[in-house]
Amino acid sequence: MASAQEQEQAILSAYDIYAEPLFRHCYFRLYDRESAKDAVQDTFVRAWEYTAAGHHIDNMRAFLYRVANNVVIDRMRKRAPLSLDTLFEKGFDPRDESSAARIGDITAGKEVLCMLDRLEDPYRTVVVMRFIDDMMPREIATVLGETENAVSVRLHRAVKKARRLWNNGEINSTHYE
Amino acid sequence: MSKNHAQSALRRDEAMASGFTSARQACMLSAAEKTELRARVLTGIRSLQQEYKEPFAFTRIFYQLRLAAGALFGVIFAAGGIVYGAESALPGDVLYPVKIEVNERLWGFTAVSYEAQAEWSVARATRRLQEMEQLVVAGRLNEKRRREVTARFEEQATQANADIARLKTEQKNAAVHTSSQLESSLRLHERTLMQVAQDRADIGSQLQVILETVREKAASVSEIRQEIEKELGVAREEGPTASAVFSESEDEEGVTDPEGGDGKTGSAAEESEEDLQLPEFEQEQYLKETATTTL
Repeated sequence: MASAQEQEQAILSAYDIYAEPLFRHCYFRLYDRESAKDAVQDTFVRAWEYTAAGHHIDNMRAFLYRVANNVVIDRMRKRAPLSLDTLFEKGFDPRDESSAARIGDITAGKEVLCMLDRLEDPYRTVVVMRFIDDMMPREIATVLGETENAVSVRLHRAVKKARRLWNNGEINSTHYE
Repeated sequence: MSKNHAQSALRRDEAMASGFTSARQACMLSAAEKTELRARVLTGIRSLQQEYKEPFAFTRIFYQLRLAAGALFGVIFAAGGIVYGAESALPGDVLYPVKIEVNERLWGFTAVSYEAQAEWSVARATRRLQEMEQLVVAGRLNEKRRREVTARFEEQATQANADIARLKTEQKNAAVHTSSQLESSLRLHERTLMQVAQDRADIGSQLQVILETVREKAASVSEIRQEIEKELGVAREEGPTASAVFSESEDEEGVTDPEGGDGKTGSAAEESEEDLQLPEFEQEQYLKETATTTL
């Protein structure tokens, strides 16, 4: 069993590698920057608690995403649902000030958010994991505790729905025609 | 036309993919945010480490107590449900062993006095007869179950007789009451089983075996009852016992003599005079002694 310092160091190393993608994952599911940061913090603290209890983590990435998924679900249950339109009206923008210069197409980013907002939850989760977190169906299956086949089917349906939303003009897509 | 449509669909898919890429790139933590969040994670871990170092931390104890209480309630509810469900179980049911080994043992523990133990033995033997009847009505009586229930009934009826015999040594009246209770219950169930045997010719032979056992036990308990009643009858014929006489004389002594002002009874006064009369040889001795003293 690793010492307390080693456990702490392992979690901090994992933080350096996975903080960014985990934040993105939480952000695209909670639509709130501060909530997403809190969720990331909870995720790493819970991971440390798990190791401190004497458990061993084989696949750190999958484990952290699984914890983050649970944290997000807890937070989504506790809070009232947010309307994306209201958030946009309040000046909501996925951009980060520091990286604004690197963003080529903010409009497309906004439309992705609109599309994700209209996807119902089991589909939205897999779409975020596949296209935002860049995870393969096998990894998604590990995180969600389901079979790879079930995840692939869900992903296929989710993409179909997303494409329909995108193509049918339900999202503002007139300028792509 | 279709080529244009396909090209348009492809363009839209590409736009969607680029939208995802844009969204992914747009959503980032600034360096300051990342550092601040790292510090928050570290603080969270350190505070938990501190809590774990203090074995008597209030939050930890409270959490453990809550956990233990939750587990205890869970166990109590589950056990209560099983015990309650087992009460109506019949031989062959999954919960029947619980009824026999847990419920009835617990009832047995609550019976402390000889009388309570005898009553419980009677009730337990009656339960076996009820189970037999229920099995017959439900059409679930087969050779194996009949043998099992009859053996258990026989054993428990014997135990009931033994308990009544033990009770007899201390409380004859209670023993008569309990034995007549068992006897009447056995006779009642005997009649019920006879009726059922007439209606159900298919299991008549099995019921006959049960009936024989019930009759045998009823006869045995009847003998015990008669024996106790006989003993009680003999005791009544012999009249009041020594202790009863003693207590009666005590009562008489307790009554104050209306003629004697000091409350002393006449018999007690006579006794005191008798005490002064010495036997003959002692009288002579006494006279000699007193003569010497006078001289």
